[in-house]
Amino acid sequence: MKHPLALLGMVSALTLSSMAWAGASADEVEDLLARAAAAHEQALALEHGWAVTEPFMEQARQALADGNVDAAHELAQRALLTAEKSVAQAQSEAEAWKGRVLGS
Amino acid sequence: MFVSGWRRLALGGVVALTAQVNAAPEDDLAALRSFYEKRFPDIALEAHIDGAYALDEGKREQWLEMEDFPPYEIAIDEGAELFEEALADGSSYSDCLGDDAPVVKQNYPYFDETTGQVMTLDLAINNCRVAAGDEAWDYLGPEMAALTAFIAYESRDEEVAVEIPDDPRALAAYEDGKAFYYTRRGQLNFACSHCHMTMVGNKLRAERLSATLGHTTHWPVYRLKWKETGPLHRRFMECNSQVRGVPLEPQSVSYRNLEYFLSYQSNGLVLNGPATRK
Repeated sequence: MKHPLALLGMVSALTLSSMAWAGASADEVEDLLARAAAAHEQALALEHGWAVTEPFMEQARQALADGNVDAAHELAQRALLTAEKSVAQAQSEAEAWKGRVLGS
Repeated sequence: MFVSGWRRLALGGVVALTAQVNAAPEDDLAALRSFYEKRFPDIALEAHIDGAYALDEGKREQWLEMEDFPPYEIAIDEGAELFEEALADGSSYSDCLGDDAPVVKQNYPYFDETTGQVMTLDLAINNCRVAAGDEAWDYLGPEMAALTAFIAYESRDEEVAVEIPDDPRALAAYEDGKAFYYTRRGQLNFACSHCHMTMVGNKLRAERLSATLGHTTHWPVYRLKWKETGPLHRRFMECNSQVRGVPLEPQSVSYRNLEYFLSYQSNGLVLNGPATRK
């Protein structure tokens, strides 16, 4: 019983995700980009920026300018994801580095 | 390449002396040396000033052949000329860097109690220039590389003797550098320690990963990849970029603190800059 339910759940999730993605608007892309930029700035302030975030943002802006909203949406999501991960890395490493010190 | 008793005694002496200043850095230094002694039992600690070429005989032979006509010689010659040039107010670099100049690299980095920050040789040079009415040089530019190459060359065989003075700000700077060294960065999620301790001696593609010990003794470096002589902080920037992180500015507080931490680990080793690296 568990397998069919799990499969149904996965299909539903993918369908919903796909629908949400397909329905992306330029405004949503701009919102994602604004959130990505804010998170990236936070990471940079913590000296933990990732080099991939800004290129994703630039590519998303270019795709939006070219009228390719779907591609822009995907790229903006990647920018946001990497920016948020870089902030999370900074936060977790604030303590985690101590465990790597020789003799610790 | 092999461990020499008197050298080890000398290094141990530095350990004992610095232990009286501050226990924590001394513990770091002792632990680091013990780590590399165990990891490379047939390689003398002082041999690590040659980086990866202490760990790979084949690469060492190629490197020694390059040293017959070292590509950093041009930078040394240019640096010698720059050193003799008067600054805007008529003073000289010797007036600013001290009577021993150009043999001063062994004095850097140090903790400057006036500014409460780590003073590196590059920063000191620019401070001299600005104080004399000259423009500061680009930290990644050819003039800074040339002058520091000349000073490094003249300072060869001097021993690294970085002190952590009895000042909580100095210890904080050292600890900040240590934190930077052990902190994961970039999308690849690497700390300096992952390459230079965890995986030291292994290869990344065709390159052998060098030990942290001796990392600061041989700068500036003519790097074949750069096709020019460049500073330690450029290498920091490159390391950060290689793990897909956004590099910091050269001579930023964090990079200077990292240099402070790394240089302290090389206490007792001799300066051997400038050098050539792939």
